[in-house]
Amino acid sequence: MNLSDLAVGETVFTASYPVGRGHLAAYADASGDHNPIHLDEAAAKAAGLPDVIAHGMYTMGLVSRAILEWAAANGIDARLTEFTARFAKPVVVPVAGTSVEVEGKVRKADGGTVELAITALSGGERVLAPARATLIQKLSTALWTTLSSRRTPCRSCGRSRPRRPCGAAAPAGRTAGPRCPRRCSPWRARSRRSP
Amino acid sequence: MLNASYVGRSLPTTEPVVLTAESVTRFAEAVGLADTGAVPPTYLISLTLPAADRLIDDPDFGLDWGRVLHREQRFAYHRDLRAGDAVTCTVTVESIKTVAGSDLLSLRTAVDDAQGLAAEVWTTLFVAGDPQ
Repeated sequence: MNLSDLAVGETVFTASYPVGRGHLAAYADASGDHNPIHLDEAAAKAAGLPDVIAHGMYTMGLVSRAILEWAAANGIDARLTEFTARFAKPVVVPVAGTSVEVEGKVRKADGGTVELAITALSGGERVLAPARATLIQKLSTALWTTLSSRRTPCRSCGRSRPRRPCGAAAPAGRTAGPRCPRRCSPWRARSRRSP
Repeated sequence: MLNASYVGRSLPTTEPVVLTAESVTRFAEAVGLADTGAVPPTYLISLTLPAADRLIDDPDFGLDWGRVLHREQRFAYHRDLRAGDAVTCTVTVESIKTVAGSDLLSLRTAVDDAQGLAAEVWTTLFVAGDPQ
């Protein structure tokens, strides 16, 4: 699948990940963030929290996982260029554990560039103001073809990047060519140059 | 309350740190990512937060880590980083906003590899004020 196949508003993935205290301990070790509110119930309660809470960056890590798993499952070869999250509510992790449900939707789509908005829920609460991720399609053979056709100069003014082939019927003896975004008349300029 | 005179100030650039294969794998496993050797999207936080230690430890700045909640996080990736790459971090205090006695502290960290700017990492921290 190519990113250019996606439409705005489309839901591209949903995923649910279990979150237990063991996950938080492993994340603390991997990230170096050993803040006790993520590991110790007494410390969390002393800080005014209902229970141990997940690192915001652990939740953001799960969002990145959902994006990468979706891309891998659909054969999308893309680069992540921007990734943003705002931590709206904590993910509370009782002894029995909890889960985080993520859902990704297409927020913007422009050719090979797509911006996803990803919501995350835990315990029925929205824990993120929607995270945003911008992905850019890596240049596949198909995309190269599209790009190089866009580089064909306009038949009339010679500027590159015509938007689409000119729909006008070509005068007798000429073939239709691409028209540039300035919508210059493809035929007038030509005929002026013609003897 | 944070010392607002720090806005615009940058900490000295850190020494180069190698993104070891072991740390990349451990981070990928911790968030459940397939270990492809690619650096996980949020991995850089494990370098950029320690890079701000000098600020956290500076008594003149007045940051009490026990009152901090992570509010917002943003990454801009300019180049793919791989395990084995070495990077430096330069932390800048971008802004301090005071709302109802609490502070919102925004830090920007430039992550440079041998070729220049590889990524930018913005972290906004909520620092609870004194209880009234």
